[in-house]
Amino acid sequence: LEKETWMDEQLAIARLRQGDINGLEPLVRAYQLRAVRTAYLIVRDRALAEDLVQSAFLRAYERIGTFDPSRPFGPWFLRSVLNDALKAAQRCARQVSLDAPQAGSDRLFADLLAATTPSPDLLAEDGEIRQAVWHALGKLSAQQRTAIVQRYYLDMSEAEMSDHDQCPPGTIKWRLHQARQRLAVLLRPWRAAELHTEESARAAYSTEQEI
Amino acid sequence: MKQQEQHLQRALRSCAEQAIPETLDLWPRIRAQAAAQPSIQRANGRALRLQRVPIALLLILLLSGIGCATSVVIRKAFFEDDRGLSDIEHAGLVHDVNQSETIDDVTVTVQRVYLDARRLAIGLTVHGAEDKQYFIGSRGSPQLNGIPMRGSITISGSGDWKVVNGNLVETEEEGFVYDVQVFDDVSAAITQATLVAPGSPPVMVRVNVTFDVEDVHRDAAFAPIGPFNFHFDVPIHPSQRIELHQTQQAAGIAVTLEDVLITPSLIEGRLCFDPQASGTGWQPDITVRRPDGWLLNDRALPSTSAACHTSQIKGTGADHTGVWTLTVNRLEHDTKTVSGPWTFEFTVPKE
Repeated sequence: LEKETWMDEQLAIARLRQGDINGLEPLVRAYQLRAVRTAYLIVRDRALAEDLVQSAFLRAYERIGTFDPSRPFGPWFLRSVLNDALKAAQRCARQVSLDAPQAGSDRLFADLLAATTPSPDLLAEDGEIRQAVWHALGKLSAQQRTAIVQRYYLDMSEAEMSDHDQCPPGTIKWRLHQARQRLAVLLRPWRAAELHTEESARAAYSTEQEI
Repeated sequence: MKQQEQHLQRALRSCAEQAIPETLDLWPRIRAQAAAQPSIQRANGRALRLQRVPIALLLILLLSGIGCATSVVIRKAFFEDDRGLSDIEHAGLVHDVNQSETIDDVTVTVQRVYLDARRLAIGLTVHGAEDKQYFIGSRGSPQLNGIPMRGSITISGSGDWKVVNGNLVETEEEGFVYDVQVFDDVSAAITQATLVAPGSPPVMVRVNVTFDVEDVHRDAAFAPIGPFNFHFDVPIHPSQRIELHQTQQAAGIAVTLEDVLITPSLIEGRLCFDPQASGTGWQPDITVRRPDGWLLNDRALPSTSAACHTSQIKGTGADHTGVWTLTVNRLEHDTKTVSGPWTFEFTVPKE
């Protein structure tokens, strides 16, 4: 943290310790975006991610007395968000719209059954890697997804992850290895024949799902 | 870092940035929630008590050797996953069905069901080979008295619990709550049935729903197991509709709360904006204060027309009577935000 930011943060925490809720505002402004985006990548639902982060900020306010002010607030807070998001994701809520105006409702039905790949028309659109990664992430376990987000979105080192998760570095290495391996399978290039076969099967299924 | 890992990193950032805009501002909601701190503390205490119930039940079952953990799994999911579902569970409004169907050694059991004017929630389990783990989805739209439902489906998996080395640990999922939120009345007959006064005799509705199951760890092409067909009758719980047509002005924009519908599991408000703010893509951010002081936050669901939005917020509590407050904190669009608040107050009278 830069000195000025560090000072602002210390001031905010001191106000919180005195019971002044307004001390929370600069901390919310500083960390909300990163926290909500992190939670969103794990729980895959914006409203839920916002709720989790909102609750985490209020909990930080309530428990500021247990926070060591000589350390930066961000990692302490993000640890709480990561834990909450992992718990929420383990409940594995997945949502799909039945409404036709929500574009591609038949495709969403297939997603409900955790289809393994984006459809060809999605692949043809811009951001095909993003779509493929998003779908593949949804197929990982909540713990694997959290590991990927820690390593590749939050840029945490394996040592930091080990410290955060309170488990040996070897476990983190193995967890990341498994997650990457599964992602590699899910993101493998789809041969034309596979695409054709799978799309035919899904199209037939979707027809039966029309409402 | 390898090139593939860099791609992954960029894709993650792109996913997050596209979904969560820079304009995000949680502070007004956090400040409002903190201002109601006594309510939050009451709410947290209640939630903790609710969560303890299923764990305590399970411990009793484990100790007594009775093997009906699946219903505990569903109870746990009803309690924990959703504020509205925990309300109906708490009020004893969930109906036992216990209907099973088996295909290819996979058994799907519909255990418990709840139905009101806006919501169908089904607690079910999937059992197959021991080393398998399954996802479940519905085939087609569920039907009420033969009429297809329109809305959004949420499926929540719930972990089971077992004792490992003396500790109670959560295992892989096997129980699910299949939850359909409806945006429009599905038929005049059902609407009439749902708007009867609380305390009236229950009106039974026939539910038809078909599920498919997929092996979670299967990497091959999409190949569901099914269909698992279920037909059962459940009581539909009554709702109250209150016509308001209240208009409030803020930031130069008029917002009208046309009416609210209160069911045992959620409150629905129909909001219309004046022409300046109309059009598609707007999403109101809403806070509702219940008569008992609880604060509920949510976003509006898809718009019902260019200028009107239907917002459903889960969690209405056991007693609806008293003064409610619905506050539209801000109107959000992909590229801009208009801050309010627009605050509406209304009273639900005692019967």
